[in-house]
Amino acid sequence: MTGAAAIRAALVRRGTELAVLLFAISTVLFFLLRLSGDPAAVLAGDEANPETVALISARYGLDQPLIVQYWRYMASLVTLDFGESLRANQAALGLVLERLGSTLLLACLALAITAAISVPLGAWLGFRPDANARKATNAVVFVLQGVPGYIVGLLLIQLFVVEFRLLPSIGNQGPSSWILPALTLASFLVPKMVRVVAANVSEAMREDYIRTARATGAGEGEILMNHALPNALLGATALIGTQFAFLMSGSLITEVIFAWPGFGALLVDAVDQLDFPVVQAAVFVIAVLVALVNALTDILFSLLDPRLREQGR
Amino acid sequence: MTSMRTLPQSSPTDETPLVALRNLRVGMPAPDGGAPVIVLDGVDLTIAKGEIVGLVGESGSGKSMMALSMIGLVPPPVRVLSGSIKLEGRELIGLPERQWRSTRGGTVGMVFQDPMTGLNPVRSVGALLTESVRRHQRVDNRRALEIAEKALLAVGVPAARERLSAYPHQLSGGLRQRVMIALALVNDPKVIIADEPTTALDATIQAQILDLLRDRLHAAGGLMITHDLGVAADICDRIAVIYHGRIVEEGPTADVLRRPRHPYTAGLLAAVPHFGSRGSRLEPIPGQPPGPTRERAACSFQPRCKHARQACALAPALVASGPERRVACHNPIEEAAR
Repeated sequence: MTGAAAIRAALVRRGTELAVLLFAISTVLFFLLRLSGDPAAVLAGDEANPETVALISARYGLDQPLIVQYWRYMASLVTLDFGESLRANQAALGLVLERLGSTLLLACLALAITAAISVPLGAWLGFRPDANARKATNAVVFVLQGVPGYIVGLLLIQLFVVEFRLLPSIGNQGPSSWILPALTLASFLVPKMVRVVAANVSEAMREDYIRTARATGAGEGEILMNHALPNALLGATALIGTQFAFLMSGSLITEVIFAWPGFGALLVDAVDQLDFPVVQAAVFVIAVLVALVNALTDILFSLLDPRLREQGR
Repeated sequence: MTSMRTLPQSSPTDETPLVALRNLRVGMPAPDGGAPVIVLDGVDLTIAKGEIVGLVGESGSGKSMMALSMIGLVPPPVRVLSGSIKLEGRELIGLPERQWRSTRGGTVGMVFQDPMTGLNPVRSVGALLTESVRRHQRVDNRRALEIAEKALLAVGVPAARERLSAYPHQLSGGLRQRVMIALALVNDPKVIIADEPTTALDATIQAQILDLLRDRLHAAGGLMITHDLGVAADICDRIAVIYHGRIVEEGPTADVLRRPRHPYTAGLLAAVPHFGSRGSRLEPIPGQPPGPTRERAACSFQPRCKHARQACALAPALVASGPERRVACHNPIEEAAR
């Protein structure tokens, strides 16, 4: 198979997977949302009379049979038309995309923090055979993995905002306001990544090629940096793809806590107000994002691992 | 003997062997302070310049541990308990880690058994070689690449220049082992230790690699570790047979293989199939080799030995037995008895 044909085949496969995934997610989401309540009633308000509710229902097509609604919804989905927000008079997808940048900024910062903490800490844990320090750190990491992310967020606010009044805690007001939400979001991933990097490094350290490197006179630093870590990080790279979905769910909570203007907070509000179009658009965008990031990690992985590199060529 | 010790270590004479192991004891100290578990029990061995010494024994006999102790890489909690390893008269035991590092890959080259797992999968052949070259020689990267290419050519890797950018998975098993040998030889070591270098290879490739090793080990001096008497017969000048952490017999290769004096050596030979002698039954040695133990008073081979007598309850010393021959046995096989 030539290189171009291989790439085309890979693209077709990925594209098909994504289409099936989006179809399934949209369908499940549509029926789940219809189970959750009547948006017309919510829109009309608590004291509205039945006539008003019926009027609103008719306006948004909510009075049609469910299967007709589903058909209309799926048909417009093909043209990426999610309809207008029931709250703001604006296209639902536009609302979501407006906030995409903020969410991505937070996600990238969180990933960078995760890498900056978990690579050195994991490498040290996996490399140093000092049993006591390792046990202590493992215990801390283990506990942290059990602490929900929102508790980390609230603790950070209590500490840096309320006690020391060092950092802002609301919205996006420039770099100083990025720190706490990014740290909170990172806390969802850090414990897991530390453990993965540590396990990979410690596994790599038992490989025969480490002994070979030692036999050529490599020092401990070279063993770690040139031989154990490259192999260990290769495995960790593959994990980023799957963990990105986890990161997105973390961003919902984080954005609500810090009133961060991303689509996570938007999604939570939209669910609260039964704003179906916005919920559907937001979930759709998240699904596409997760699929994209997975594809990107796969490409990155095949570029980093020499054993996969020539298969793509 | 005392006058020998006062000689300055830095001026090796012709008498100084290339490598001299004296009463080397390697083992695992007991946590309770009791007797350590012994892996090597007082090993004596010398290698002369240009000589290939074969170390023959079964798995678990301690032969690999001996190789690792010669490059200071005995895996904890096992450690060198006592004894001496001298390289051209220079004591290696107790060297600071820094000096061990310049020894490994510099003055002592090591070839390991399995080239499939022994080469880092994410580093190119050139990166592996130049890393070692630049560690031991003060050269820039371009010069290091030239040296690496030369090393690959010297071990018979075709298209050496292109191979520098190859990764281990792109090479066949035979080529990988050649790369492994190039890695051991790239800094022109004084001693080369090869630990079962052909065990993981196909028979035809084995012969090629053995030819290569014979030349290269003769150029310096080498220890060839193997469980295969055929390999030992093929390339070694002298062989030492190791059993349960002790050398039980030693001498010129042909002599030892033709006239074994230790019952264990004789047993090993009887268990090797001979080409052209169809119909003659192979005789396995009864029983199993013992694992690492604390108790070492008796001859370790006694429970499996046809020649055992009462005296064997005390382990025999390795003593001269004819010219250039040494054997550790109370009741060695005599010429007449065979």
